[in-house]
Amino acid sequence: MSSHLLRIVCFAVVLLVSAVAGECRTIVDMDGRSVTLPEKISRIVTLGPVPVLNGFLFAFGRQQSIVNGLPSELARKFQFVFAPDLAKRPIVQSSASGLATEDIIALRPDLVLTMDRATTDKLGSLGLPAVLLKWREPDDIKRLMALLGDILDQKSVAADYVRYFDATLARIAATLGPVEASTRPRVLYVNYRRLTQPHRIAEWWIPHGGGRSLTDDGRDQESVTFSLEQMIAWDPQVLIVADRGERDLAMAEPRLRDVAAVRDKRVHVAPAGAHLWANRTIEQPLTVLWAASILHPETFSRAMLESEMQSFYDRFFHISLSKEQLDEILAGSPGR
Amino acid sequence: MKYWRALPAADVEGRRLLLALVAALVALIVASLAIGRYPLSLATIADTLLGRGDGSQSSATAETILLLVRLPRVATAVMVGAGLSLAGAAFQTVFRNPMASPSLLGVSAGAGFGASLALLFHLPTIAVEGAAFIGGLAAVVASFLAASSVRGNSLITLILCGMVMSALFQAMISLVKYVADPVDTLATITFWLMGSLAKADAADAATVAAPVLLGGATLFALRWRISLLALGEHEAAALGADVARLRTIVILCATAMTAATVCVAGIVGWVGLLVPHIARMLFGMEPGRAMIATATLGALFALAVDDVARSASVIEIPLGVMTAVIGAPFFLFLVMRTRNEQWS
Amino acid sequence: MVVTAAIEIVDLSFRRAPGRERVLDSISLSARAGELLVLLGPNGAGKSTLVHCLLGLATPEQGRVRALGDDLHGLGRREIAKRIAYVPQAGHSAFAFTVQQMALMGRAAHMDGVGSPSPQDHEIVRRALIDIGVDHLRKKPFTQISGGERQLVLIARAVAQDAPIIVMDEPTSSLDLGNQGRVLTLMKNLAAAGKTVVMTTHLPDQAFNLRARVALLRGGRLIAEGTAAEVCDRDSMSRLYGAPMLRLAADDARDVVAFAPDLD
Repeated sequence: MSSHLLRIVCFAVVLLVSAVAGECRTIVDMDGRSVTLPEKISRIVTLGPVPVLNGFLFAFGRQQSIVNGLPSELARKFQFVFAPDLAKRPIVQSSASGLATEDIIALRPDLVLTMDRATTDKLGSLGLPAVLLKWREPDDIKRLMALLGDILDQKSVAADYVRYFDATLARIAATLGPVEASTRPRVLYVNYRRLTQPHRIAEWWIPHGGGRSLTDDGRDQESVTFSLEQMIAWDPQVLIVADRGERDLAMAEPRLRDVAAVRDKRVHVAPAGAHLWANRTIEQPLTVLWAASILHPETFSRAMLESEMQSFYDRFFHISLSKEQLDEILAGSPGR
Repeated sequence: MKYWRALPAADVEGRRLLLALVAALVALIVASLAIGRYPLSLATIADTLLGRGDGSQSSATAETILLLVRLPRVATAVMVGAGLSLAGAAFQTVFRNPMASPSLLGVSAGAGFGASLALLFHLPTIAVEGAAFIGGLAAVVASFLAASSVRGNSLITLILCGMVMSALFQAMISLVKYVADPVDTLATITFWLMGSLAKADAADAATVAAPVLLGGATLFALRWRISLLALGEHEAAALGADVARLRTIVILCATAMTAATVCVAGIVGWVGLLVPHIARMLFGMEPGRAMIATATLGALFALAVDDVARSASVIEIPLGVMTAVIGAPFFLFLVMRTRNEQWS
Repeated sequence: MVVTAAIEIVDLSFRRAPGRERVLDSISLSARAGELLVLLGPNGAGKSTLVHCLLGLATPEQGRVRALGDDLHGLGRREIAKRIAYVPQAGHSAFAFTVQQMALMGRAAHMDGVGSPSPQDHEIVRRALIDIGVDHLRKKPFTQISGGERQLVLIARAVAQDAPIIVMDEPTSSLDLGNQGRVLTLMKNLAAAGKTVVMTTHLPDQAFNLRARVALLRGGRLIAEGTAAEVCDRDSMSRLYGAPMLRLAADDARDVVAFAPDLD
């Protein structure tokens, strides 16, 4: 009851403040919630999967608008390459203590981006302009970018990204041509330390890259865990792991020595740019191209991939990466 | 007159039931080697186990699956089940409390804390195991001392003190996680505490087998003397037991066994509470028979649960989750059944 | 002829903790083989503590307890258990040992650390159960027999323990008169067979009934010692229990005298 009241009061205050500012508008977020936002967005807080959300903003060239830092457990080196100022921003969440709500309010954000309903509702009830972004199905990224284009008043960038997304996928599909189910390599994307396939999105990019994902059984859960024996029984021809430490572990594991991917040394580390490419990230068109390049290297060359990366980061993040930096992204996270 | 020869029918039946139980465990071990996600024919299994592989790719894979994947996992599950059950029975006897168990006394949480601390400082595996043992020991000693200083201490007092210790050590685990480096150490600790037999290898099997076999053998050798402890400190001493020394030995053995299971399978609850109960219900209190029955039933239970966990579907469910799902309602059933009687 | 005492208490004092008052104060007592010794006293007189000292379970502040001539202090638990058997008050057990298993525990002192009962142990236990008259109960769980039966089983266990001295802590306190009679008869028989039997009780009539030697304990001190007829009169009982007593005697009571509180 009291939280409801508080919510109404806060809402009223926000309305009042916005009215005084004179410039506000109401948008509908991806969960159907109406949120009132100032006309001009210059201070943005990203909560939850911070690197993923930051990636969306990088694509709008809004590195400078992000006012919160990266929680250390989520930090990836290239976030700081794409947005060097992130290192100076205060960190407002951690896996151990959750959200630092007062610090978030103190940042006076014009916009708070989240990806889960509970956080959004909590911050919304405090009068913060919290917008929920959803990315469940592969195509959601297009709706998501369109919404952000609306909010940031950069509709053309959003449209450009959607065009790029469709064009790149179409081009990969055309180059790949029709691939018989029998000639598609068996692919397993795995977090090897935990024997978990962590993200359903891989069931989308693996087939688009010309492979057959072994964990694709029409599942609904975001992640699945399996046994080592199951892994041997699947006998993947290509293994994609989360970091270089995992590749070393898998290559050294005697029980995997008869698995085709290990025997043929086709154990790959997922590239890590703004975020891990194998998971949901703004760089997803590149993920598909990279997958195609490791699954069908005769058709998709490394040079082709590198030049595509160069142009993607230049076109959307407005940064020109060196050859070393491209190599580093493709080498994946070092792990431990 | 040789009175002891005139064993009653129930005694003979008990012996037969025990033999049947041991036979069932052997059968389940063999069956467990034959089931799994990787399809292997019985002929292939027999050939592999008898070393008659033909050197082909498929026979090499069969060998890997049987000897390097299934065998260590089966051995680990058997040892975890037997170890937790024997530890539970030992704690119940030494504390004269049918509700005592490694997790209710805080031993599991204490072992988890010790191990987390060792992982925090990046200590080698052997030190992690040692720290788990010391943590478990600290928890059980603290529970016992706390309970003994409570006036009018009853069966429930020790359990309450154990739960307090368990909560305390869980909180200290959280504290360790809080200060752990989120990038690497935190994930390691979290994953380690969750425990999983999914990747159990020969090293894991050895880690758990050594303390369980050594501790189990010690407890078995002293089984008659230890059963005196169930009568209470004064009675046991008056009957000729060196209570302090026996208690120390039992607690050390049971804690080492528990810590070893925590090291490979994480915190697995319920087994150490339920299995000794069932063993006593079926076989009574004769120390030798009760111990063999406890170890066998524990091994059967853990192995059966793990077989389901690894072969029912693609998805792997942690052992601790499965035992809780089965154990909690079953325990409630036991409590309801025995509410008007003495604890078995 | 010098008769050596089976059990001998010399100048025994005990405190629960340094600085606290003495629970036992300079007590000297002894009992010979075949003798029945009854420790009589009100609640808190120190009877249970004295029993614990007799069993070597409590360490005295000063003085010593000798069993068959040796100081308990220098004996191991098993050595003590071979000399002194203990019959506690039959309480509840958390575990359902059978009567037979309970009685077998009496043989523990005769097994080595890693041993289990031998056929001979089983035979001794069976004989003890028959002698005490509880053999028909041997398959029953100890938790499911009556209080009187439990007390008898514990006595059978002490018999199986085969120690020359038997110490009983209020063995009749929770029994009806019929069962009290059974237990007292057993004690008499044991003494007649040459055992030294020491028991504590609240009831002076039991000392008369057993024709036992009596030691009166009050406030941790030994205040009188002798036959029941010598030390248990109306005055001494009133002083012992700190309340006026009636002495109940009858011509056909065969010299058994009882006491009851005088309510007027």
